[in-house]
Amino acid sequence: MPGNRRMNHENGQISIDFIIGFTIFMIAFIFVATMISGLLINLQSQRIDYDAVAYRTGTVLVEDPGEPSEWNLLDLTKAADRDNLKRLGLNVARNSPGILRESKIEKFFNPDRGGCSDRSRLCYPSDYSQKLIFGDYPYSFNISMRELGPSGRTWAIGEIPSNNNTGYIRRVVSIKKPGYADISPVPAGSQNHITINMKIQTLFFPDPVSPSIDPAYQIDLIYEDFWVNLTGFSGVNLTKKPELFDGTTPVTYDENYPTLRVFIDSVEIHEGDYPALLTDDSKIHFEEGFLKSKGFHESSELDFILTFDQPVGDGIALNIADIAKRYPLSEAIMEIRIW
Amino acid sequence: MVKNSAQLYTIEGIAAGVLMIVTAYIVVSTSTVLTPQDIHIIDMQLEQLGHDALMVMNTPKDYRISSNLTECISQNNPDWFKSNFTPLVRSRVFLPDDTLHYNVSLYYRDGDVVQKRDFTDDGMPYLGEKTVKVTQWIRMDDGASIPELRNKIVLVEVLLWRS
Amino acid sequence: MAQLNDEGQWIVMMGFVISILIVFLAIIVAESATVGKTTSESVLEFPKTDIQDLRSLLFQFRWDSGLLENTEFKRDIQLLHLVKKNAIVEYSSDVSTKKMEIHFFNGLTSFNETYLETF
Repeated sequence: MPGNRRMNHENGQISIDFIIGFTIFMIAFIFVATMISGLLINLQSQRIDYDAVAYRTGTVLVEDPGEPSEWNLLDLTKAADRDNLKRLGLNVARNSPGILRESKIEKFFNPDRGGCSDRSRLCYPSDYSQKLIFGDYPYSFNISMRELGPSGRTWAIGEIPSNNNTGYIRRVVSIKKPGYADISPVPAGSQNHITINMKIQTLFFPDPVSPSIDPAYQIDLIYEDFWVNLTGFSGVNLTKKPELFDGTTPVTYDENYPTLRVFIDSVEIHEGDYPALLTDDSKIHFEEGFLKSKGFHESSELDFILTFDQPVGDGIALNIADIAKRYPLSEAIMEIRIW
Repeated sequence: MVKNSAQLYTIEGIAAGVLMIVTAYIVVSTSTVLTPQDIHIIDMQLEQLGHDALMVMNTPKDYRISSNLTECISQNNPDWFKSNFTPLVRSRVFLPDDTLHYNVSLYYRDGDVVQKRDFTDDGMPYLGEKTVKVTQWIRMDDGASIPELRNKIVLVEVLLWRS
Repeated sequence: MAQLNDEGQWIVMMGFVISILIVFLAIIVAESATVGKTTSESVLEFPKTDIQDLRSLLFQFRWDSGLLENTEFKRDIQLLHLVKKNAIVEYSSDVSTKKMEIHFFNGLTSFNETYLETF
């Protein structure tokens, strides 16, 4: 009404209705202003970049030895050790990318699918998503590997993807196998036992003036397993289980992993089976971590004694550095799929 | 009795508020903000694969011997290179082989310039496809077949593409 | 009517102005959505393989005494890196203290390492 306006001009007051209208406007404006900040945050990708996850997984597997780098020796039944295992990498050592340790490969591709109580095995799939792929999103994965060459071994783990729309990467790697030694009977033997003197330092430093061997070519009795092949002993009996001596102190061992095992024709020989008849397929397996669990390390020296029922030795101890051999590196292809 | 003389202010305030809210809602709900399309994934995968394959070839198979790559360049043997490199770069785990093609050149220093020398290719001419470049370092000693390379550090460069 | 009572029109006008600003902002934001670095671009740009290969090359010769100090080798490595990889490389080694220093710079990424051999 005209009278109202005239009063406003003179009094300098704003009418209550105006204030109400203005207030409603300001409330709505503030409401909208807070909505705008949501507009800018909405910069999310609609698609998850699975290829990036596959690339990262591939790099962790192929170029990283893992954390701790000797995780293949951990006792995974202990919760503390399992927590210590932060990353599953298959590499031999930090400075040699692309060379994988065979025992890590075997451990990685053979998990425990039913419960997580086995001391030497990983849990599927929790260990893989937490220690390899990372992140909260439940990625599905498929990792497979094939060795090129005559053996043609394959390994695979994970689900089968339902379509081809997966993140993918392919890597080419070398595989380092554990070392081995061959023992044969001495032709004109006089003693019933054969002794191998294992001065472990000679395997790590074959040449006193050069630095230690690159871990990719190391015959590693401490961090890897080792096979002793008995060839030419068919018809001879092994009278008791192999003995280990640290100087003059005998080293006792039982049948729990990791330990020393004797296999004749791929069958394990137990304590009560001695004397055992050897064949052409007789092997002794130093399981990985066995010597370490008995307190031996790179500077240790120990004696390994086999006792037979026929004279097959000549009393001279064999030197581990002379008889230990390694396989050449083999090549393999690895494929990783994530979706 | 409430006066209704200035209802217009209130109504207009409400109308303005409603207008803003509706606009903001429409804008927010219809904007699709996407990250850019990742067209370089193929390049990244190919470069990593090619480098892996060449590096595996350049890894000595045993202690104190020289790698296959060094040997076949030292003896100037392109067939040996092809028979080694092709399965490494084409094999897949369960599926049949991939179709990748390559050509190989050697670069070395001659005085103050870098010289290039073609080494081999896999028979397929390069027709301008998108390629990646992967390299490895080797050292040639006195016994190299190619005289210009003796006692030099040589860069082996492989151009890799998918047909 | 003779003259519209437009005392409160500016409230609605402010409303219109704000709405137009919001739509304008949305258009700008939609255009800026294509800015950003993809993972594979970052991977291709970082010289991981170059650095790994350089280290591998230098470690191969660390105890062939003489080769790392050989100036011809150094010139080979430096010139090839400069021309083919657009990178500056510098290294030095001390056989007595078993220390090696490596420096690599390709314009975007700089890598410095002091390597001490521990037996």
